[in-house]
Order: sequence, then C-alpha cells, then structure tokens
Amino acid sequence: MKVLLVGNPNVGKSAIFSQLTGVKVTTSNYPGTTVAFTRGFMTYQGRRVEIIDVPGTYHLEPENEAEKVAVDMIAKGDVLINVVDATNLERNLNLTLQLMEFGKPMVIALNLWDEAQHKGIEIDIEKLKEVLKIPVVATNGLTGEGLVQLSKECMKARAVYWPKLNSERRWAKIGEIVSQVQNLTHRRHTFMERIQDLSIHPILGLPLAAISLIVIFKFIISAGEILVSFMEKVFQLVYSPIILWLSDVLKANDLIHYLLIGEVTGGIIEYEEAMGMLTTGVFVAFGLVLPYIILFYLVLGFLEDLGYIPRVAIMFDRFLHNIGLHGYSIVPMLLACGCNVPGILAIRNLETRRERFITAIVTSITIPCMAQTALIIRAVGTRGEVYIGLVFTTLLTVWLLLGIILKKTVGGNTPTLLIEVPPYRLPSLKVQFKKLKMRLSLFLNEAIPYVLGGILFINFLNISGFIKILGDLSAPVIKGVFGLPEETVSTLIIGIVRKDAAVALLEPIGLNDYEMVRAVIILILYFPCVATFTVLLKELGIMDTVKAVGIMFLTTMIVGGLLNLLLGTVFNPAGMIIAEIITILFLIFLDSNTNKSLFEDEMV
Amino acid sequence: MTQKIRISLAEMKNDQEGKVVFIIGGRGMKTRLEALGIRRGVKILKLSSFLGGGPVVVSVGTGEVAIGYGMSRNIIVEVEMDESSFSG
Repeated sequence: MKVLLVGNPNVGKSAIFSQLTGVKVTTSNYPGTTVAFTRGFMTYQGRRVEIIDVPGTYHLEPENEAEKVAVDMIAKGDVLINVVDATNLERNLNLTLQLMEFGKPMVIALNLWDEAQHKGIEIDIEKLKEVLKIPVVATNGLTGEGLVQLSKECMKARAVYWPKLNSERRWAKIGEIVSQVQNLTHRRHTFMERIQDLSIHPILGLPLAAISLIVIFKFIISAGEILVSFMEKVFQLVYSPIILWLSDVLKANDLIHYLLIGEVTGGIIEYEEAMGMLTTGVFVAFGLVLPYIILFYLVLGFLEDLGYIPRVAIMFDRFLHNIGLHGYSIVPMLLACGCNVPGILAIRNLETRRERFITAIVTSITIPCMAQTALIIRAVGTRGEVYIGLVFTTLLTVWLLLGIILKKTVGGNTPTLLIEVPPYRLPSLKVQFKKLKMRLSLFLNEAIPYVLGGILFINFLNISGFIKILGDLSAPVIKGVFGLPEETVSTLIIGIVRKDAAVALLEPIGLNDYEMVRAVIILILYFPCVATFTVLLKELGIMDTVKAVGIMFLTTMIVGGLLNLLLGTVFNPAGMIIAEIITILFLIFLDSNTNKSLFEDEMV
Repeated sequence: MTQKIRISLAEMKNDQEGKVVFIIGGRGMKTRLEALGIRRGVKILKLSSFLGGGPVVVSVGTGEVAIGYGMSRNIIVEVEMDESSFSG
C-alpha cells in the first residue's frame, strides 16, 4: 500500500513523515525544504506500508519542478494524507478540495494544532469531519501527538466523493466551510510577533539583517578558530603518538610511508605540510574543516526553523532584481554557503529556466562552501585581515558583474516574488540536533573519501612525474596570465576533487601574499568540485552545463588576469577593495537608472 | 464622510486596509495569488513595503504574504478615504 503525505509548503509534512517512518529528512520553517519526494516505510499491525513525503504545493496546476513532482505522484497513491496547517485553514482547504476530486481514500491531518490555539484560532473538528465527510485528526508533527490515530484512520479510509468545482465556486464553498468550523478570537500581540514585524520593517529590517549577518559571520570565524586550536591540541596529544608509531613501523617501505604519512622530521608532525593521507588528509577534514561546518549548520539550522529565511528573501528581493532574479534565489545561495550541492539542488524551487540558470551559475562560480571559506580565512587571514576582505569583495564584484551580464543575455523572464511569510517559531532542540547530525554525516561521507583519495591521487601524480608535465603544459596560463608558480598546478587539479583540500595544499608552496590571494580566488572560480558538478549536470542538463563551464573558464581567465595586472601594481589590497566597492555601487546605481523596465520582464 | 476609491496594492499606505476588487493578469498569476488567499473580495491589510521597488507584505486571512512590487501594481484594491484627505 502506498500512502502519500500531501499539503501546502511549510505545513510540517516532513516532520510527520519522519515521525511515522523513522526516516530522517530535513525540516525547516520555510516553503520548499523538500524538493524531491522521500520514501519510507512504516509497519502497521504486521502490514508494511510505504509512505511518501511529497514536495509541498499550493494547488494542482504545477509551475515549478517540485510542484510537477507532487502532481505526478498524487495520481499514483493509494491513500492520501492531506496535511493541513490549522493556523491557515482557509488557504489550505483550497488544496484539500482539489485533492478530494481525485476520489481516492483520504484523511486530513490538522497539523500545528497547538499553535492555532495559541493564536486564538478555534476549529471544530467534528463539524469539519461532518462537512467534508472524511476523517480529520489533530496532529503535532514535532511531538508525534495524534499520529497513532492518524495511521489507524489511514488504514480504514474509504474513497471520497466530491464534485469537481471551478475555482470561483470552490472558494465560495471554502468560505462556507470556514464560517461553519472556524472561530477567531482576538488577542494581544506576542513578543515573537513584535520581533517578526521588526525583522521585515522597511527601514530597520535591512540594517538588522546586515548586523545579524556580520555578527553570525564573526561568531563562526572566532568560535571556529578556538575549536580548530583545540583540535590541533587533540591531534598532537592523541593522534601523533599513533602516527609516529606507524611511521616507525613503515620506515622500511618508503612509498607507503610517503603516501600514508608523508614527511615527518624530528618526531614532530606538521599536519598541514606532511602531505600524507593519514596526516594532512585526516587533519584537514576533521581538524580544520569540521569545526566550521558544525558552527555554520548550527546557525543555519536555527535560522531555518525560526523562519528567518523567507524574510531574508523579502529583504534581498530588490537587490536580486539587479541580476535578473527575485528574492527567493537567496535560498539556494544561502544553502550553498554551507555546501554547493544542496544549494544547486534547491534551484528546483525556482519557476523559470532563466532563474535556475542564472542562480546556478553565479552560485557555483562565486560562492565558496563553508569548508573552503574556513581554509581561505586561515590561508589569507594569517597574512592580514585586509586579504580576507579582498577575497570576499572580489567575489561579490564578480557575483554582481556576472549576474548583470547574464541578466542581459539569458532569454526568458523572471516571475515576481510571491512568498508566504511564516510566523516565527522557537526551534525545538531535538529537531535541531537531528538535523545537525544528518548534515554532518552527509558532509563526512562526502568529504572524507574525497579528501583522502584526492591527496593520494596528487601524491601519485607527483611520483609519476605527471604533475611536472602538466605544469609545463599549463605554464603559459598559470605563469603568464595568473602570475603563479608552476607548483600551484597540482592544487588546481586537486581542486576539482575537493576545494578545501586544495586550499590547504597551497600553504606549503610558499606563495607571497598577492599570489596567495590570486590562487585562492582562482581556485574558487575556475571549476566547481566534482560533487557540485554532478548535480549541476543533473539540474541543468548537458547543454547548459557546457555553457556553464565555458562561463567559468572565461570568468577565471578575466578575473585572474586582471588581479595579476592590477594588484600590487596599480592598487594595494586596500585600494583594490575600495575600487571594487566603488564598482559595485556604480553598477547598482547605473542599473536602477538605466533600467526603467526593471519590472517589465516580470511574468504577469 | 468617507469615500471609496480604487488604487493598486503598491499605492496603498502601510497599515491601510482594503478589499481586493480585481487582479490584472493571466490565469497563472491569479492561481498563484489565489492559492495564497489573495483573490477578489478578500480583505487585506498592508503591513509594509520596501523603497525603490521592493516587495509588499500584506496580512490576509490568518497569514502573511510577501508580493513582489511588479505584481503588487496589478492588484487593485478598494480603500476607504476620508473626505478630509482630499481637501489638502
């Protein structure tokens, strides 16, 4: 038997799904967390029941990929569980009535029941059952309340009969139902609602968002540094003795020692320079990157469940129009700051090809993932904070310029932002913990094999002399255009496998400050890591991916060449930052002046 | 004395209430708006708007919705105006 969980976005389908099946899925307080369907099983009285979490949809006339998936799935289900947000009954019933027209067995899970009561919304469940003639169960996806009852009703649900109505008559019917079953009582504004109003305040909202972002960034960086130095101590105290013992054992065999441990002199392991799989490889993944990943996902998870993400979309809407997008594109970009893979997957929620293409390109080219960011800050930050600023303002400039060019050249249109603003909800610790655990295990499964394998691969290339050949071949570009020594070729190769490992491997080369900045920026721009490239291919298709790769190559050549030309000759680092900021402001000013037709290309 | 006038959602003032009288646009746009509870005949309260063509946030039914500026110009609402506000 196949049971489908169907409902509007952000009503808690995924929470109910993981309660029913024990399968872990991501839940957040913003529409569009689930982009593909997730399958799980539950056993009910000895019967194995398949449960499918369908991406949220407001209606059955699909507009984006996620909605198409939903509509296709519904036709194939045996029983529908319609998850309804009790705090927004009227709007949710629109989908309910459309689902009933399928004539399939159906049960309503009236979710967020507690929140509705807090808000002074009373719903007469008995009356609702009577009017719709289908079972209705009050549920709480977070605590699991009402889910036993829900499964029971599901097993004995019978096909519903409901007449097909046109939209006008359907809304009339909904109005009639709501007036019969719902009773609103007014109450005072809560503290949460005051913060809610403030965070999308037209004047105070933006500074508030900027300040919170800076505070969050500072927090991740400084807390990350503390964690990393703690990990360094742990490595020296606990891990070093093991490695030194192994080093003694292996002495006989030079090659294996070289590959696994690398260089050890005088009984001290320099983890960042040894270049062995078990030394540098393990240390980069666990010691340098993991602390920052944990911190980033802690913060992101909190903001997601609180409901701040849609507000960020609203705040950045006008700004994103500069590059032919609307506010919702900020969601893939934010996710990409953690890891590009979920970022690129999230473009499915965007409606048009143009939006998806522009978002995918600027995201995969200019947004470094947290693992990369952590190591960049380490690599250039030790040479002076001004270099961190230079790397990120350069990325922002490239982001904006590239976006503007794509906006002018990519055909199609960008629809307007239209998004539900969920109320703030205090995140539950239990859910936060689960989510963090899930994301960390994803990262570890992804990162460990690639980082270790990547280092192994590079060592092999080194031994075989292949690096030397590649270095000679690419010397005209690496030396001539970018002004970097030949040794950086190997890091650019490993960057295709794993960017964080590549940044870590720049350190032992001994670049000067300007070379380091250029190398880091080129590493971010030139190509995404293998994992990101795979999802790009899947989401964009071959043709658009080929275009994307071309754009990446061109961007890298131009930006790398310009930096080589200007940095240290025309501008010092601070001067370069100022020049870039002026460029950014000028571009925005130019755009808002020349682009009178800013909103004409919007779909109406 | 109050008088009813028709303006677009973009032109409404913050904290002003109005009734949607019609929506200029194709079926796709109407369906999307409808699904979020914005349709002919409903009462909406404009909560905030952003300068220079940013989105408009409205309260409708028991929820809140943010609408891009371009679309907000195509949603026509009927608002009540004080006679006095015409005199100046």
